Amino acid sequence: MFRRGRVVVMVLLVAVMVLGSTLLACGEEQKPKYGGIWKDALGADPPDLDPVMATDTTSAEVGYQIFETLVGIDPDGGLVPLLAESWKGSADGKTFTFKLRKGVHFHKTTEGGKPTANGGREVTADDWVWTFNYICDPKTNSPRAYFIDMVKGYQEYRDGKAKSISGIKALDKYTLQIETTYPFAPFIAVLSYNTFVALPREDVLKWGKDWNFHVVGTGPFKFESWKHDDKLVLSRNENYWMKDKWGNRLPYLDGIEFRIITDATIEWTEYKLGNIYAAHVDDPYYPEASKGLKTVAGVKTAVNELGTYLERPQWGTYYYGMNQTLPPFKDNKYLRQAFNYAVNRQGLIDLVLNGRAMPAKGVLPPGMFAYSENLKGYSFDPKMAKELLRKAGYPKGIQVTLQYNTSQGHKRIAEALQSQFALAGIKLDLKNVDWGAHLDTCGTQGTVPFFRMGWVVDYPDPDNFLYVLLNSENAGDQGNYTRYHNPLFDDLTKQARLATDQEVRRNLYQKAEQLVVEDAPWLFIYHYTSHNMLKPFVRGYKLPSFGQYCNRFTEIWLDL
Amino acid sequence: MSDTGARTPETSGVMPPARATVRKADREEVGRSLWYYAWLRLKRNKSAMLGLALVSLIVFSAVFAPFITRYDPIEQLIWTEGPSAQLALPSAKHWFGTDLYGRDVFSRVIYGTRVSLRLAIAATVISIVIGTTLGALAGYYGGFVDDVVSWLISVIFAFPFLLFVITIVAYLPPSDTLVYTAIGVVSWIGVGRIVRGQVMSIKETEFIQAAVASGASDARIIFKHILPNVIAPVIVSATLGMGGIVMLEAGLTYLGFGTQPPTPSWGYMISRGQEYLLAGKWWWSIFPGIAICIAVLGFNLLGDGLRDALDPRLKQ
Repeated sequence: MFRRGRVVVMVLLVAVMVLGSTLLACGEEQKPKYGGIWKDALGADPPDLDPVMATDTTSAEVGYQIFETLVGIDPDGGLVPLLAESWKGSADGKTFTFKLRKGVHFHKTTEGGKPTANGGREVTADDWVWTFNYICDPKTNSPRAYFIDMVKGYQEYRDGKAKSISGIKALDKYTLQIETTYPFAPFIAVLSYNTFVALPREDVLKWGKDWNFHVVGTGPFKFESWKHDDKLVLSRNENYWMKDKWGNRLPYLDGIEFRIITDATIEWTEYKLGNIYAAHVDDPYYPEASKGLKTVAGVKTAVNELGTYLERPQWGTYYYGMNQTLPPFKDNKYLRQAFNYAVNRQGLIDLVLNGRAMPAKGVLPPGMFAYSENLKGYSFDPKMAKELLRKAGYPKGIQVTLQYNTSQGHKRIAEALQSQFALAGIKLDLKNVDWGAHLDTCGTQGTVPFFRMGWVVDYPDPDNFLYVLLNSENAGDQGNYTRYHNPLFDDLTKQARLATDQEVRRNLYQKAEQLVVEDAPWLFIYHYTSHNMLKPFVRGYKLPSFGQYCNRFTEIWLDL
Repeated sequence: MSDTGARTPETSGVMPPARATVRKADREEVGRSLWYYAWLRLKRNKSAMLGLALVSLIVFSAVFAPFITRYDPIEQLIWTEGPSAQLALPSAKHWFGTDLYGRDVFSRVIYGTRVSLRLAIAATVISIVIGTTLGALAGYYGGFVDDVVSWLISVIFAFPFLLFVITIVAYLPPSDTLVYTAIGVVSWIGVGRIVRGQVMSIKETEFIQAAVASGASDARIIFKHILPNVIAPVIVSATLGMGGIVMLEAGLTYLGFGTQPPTPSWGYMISRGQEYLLAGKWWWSIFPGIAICIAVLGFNLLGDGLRDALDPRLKQ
């Protein structure tokens, strides 16, 4: 009796559930549900939580939840208002006036409900003036301050000739004005970069050099705790300013738990077990993750029993840098060109990367302004590579050590290239170090002759690639890791900054890129795609075209 | 188990057949060396013979690798044969399948024996040379020399072995020689302790006293009279140690510190293949795993058998 009763109840339950879910699926739009902790993985321990110091994607991925910029970037790469409600440029393109959003408050509590030093006060134009001055202060030593070096009074301030940056003014409580010395085309876009966020001066000054471990911002999530190499926890900002279209206060999630998982196999296992809700799909698991792949609105999408797989091209370039100040690459163009001829890019992409990349001819990714189809790049030509190696003074071949940051993906690529290099007479040894040490040795110290590096867009302009990564002014951890120095190239990229006419700029960038491809300080490898794999119950997620790491979890909710 | 001692008669009670054989051999061919009797005892020990067979298999594979395999272990076939050569299932063409780059897993496993064996032998030779020298000096001279060597042994013994090797290898550029040396330098303590103890006891025997009385030099006494009597336990210790070194090399390489790509090494194959294990490509890591099992099992069984065969208590 009891048993049968139970069966009947079960059948009824199943029927109701099936019916219920069908009805829900038919409905126009589900009403978001509040609650739940977003469980995610980070591929490395973030080198910097302090947005002023962060230069890498792992740090930014966390920073985007805690901090906010004046201008935001939507998932398709367009500029949208964030902490500035609107902005206006003057006719000469040198003055920008930002109307600030009212009712934006710094986090009131943090780290387990402890009150912050700022007390949750409103963000005003004065805060922005302070923030920009703080970022550009030479004592702060921000590696990205120079992104806004065209702001009037920047240099005087840096040189200590002025107490503050004259070009940044608070006109009233909610109006901010920024003047630049020349009309810099991508200026507004630069302000969307993750360093230029509203900072609460009380908290920054209170913590001093420990600020990196006690960050406070305005974003949808507040910093809770950070156990290095293990876990980083954020909690919901209950006073967040943004509301959804029904007028409900965002975000929906109660918090975020980033676990630091450096091993792609473990990450994938954790995803399959349901311990994390989103995962990076490493190449071994691509076939199962991408089952049923088709293109939906420019994004490759696969919905299958594992969840939803999303993929789209990302503006970025994967390369091996050759330090121009160290042997054997110093003053040896033939050698650097030989390396470029030794690599079968298309083969690597098709056979090792599951086709998830585009071969790189040069620096700029396809689709970016000034990208040129006619750029003369390098083909795969081991004979040519050998010939150039001979000209370079290595008729018997050469032995080089590649340093890369620990990751199965980088290792996989390096091992494939190792065998291609061997065909051309280049013996490649591999050495891996962790991400922080890699950035230190290749960037700040510049002691590594041959290293893996990659760059993804900060603001959608060639300036972000050619000027930032290769102009000699930015040698070191500012972006020019290879210490490339060519006066003509410096001049071209500098001119392009000053020019206002888009055709002139295009021309300058294309010339500059051809020059750098010829000089070959990089071994150009491929342009990225970005992807993410999500559990079926994740709602409100859009894969950002700037890359998965730019996710903002403001409007994401869990249909559990 | 406090009654282990009481069981000894039982254990030796199992041995009579062995004794009988030896006794027979003894009668027929008088004047055979101790090694001959040891070999006879070893031959009767089934698990030792299995160990010997496995070790022979490994040695054979290492020596004749080019004749056994059809493919170059580091040649990446995907660049010439395309995706069909990539992660191919075990087949008649590729017995153990291929890896991501189209390298023949069978060739890599076979050539991998060279890497493991070379390392095991090199590290063992280093550890025997250091261990025997220091152990003999400490045991023979005693006093201050013994204090220093014993202290050194205790210090190294207290070191976390793997961590020590990782630290050395991480600071210096990775190379095979470095790995041999790092392992050899720390693994001599086992041999060192055995030799020291043996030398101490042999030193007190009458034939050594006779040698001293007849005016033999220290060097002559150590090398001509003492060391030949220490060889047996050293051989046992070294054979047992080899299995451990094969494991250690695999572990180090798995962690990325040992043998560097593209050299085919079992530990490296397991670590790389493991990424594809979840995706159902089991052959890349399972076969080298089996190879490690065979090598370690072989050395351990053989070592155990040698210990039994060379154990003086079982001698006639």
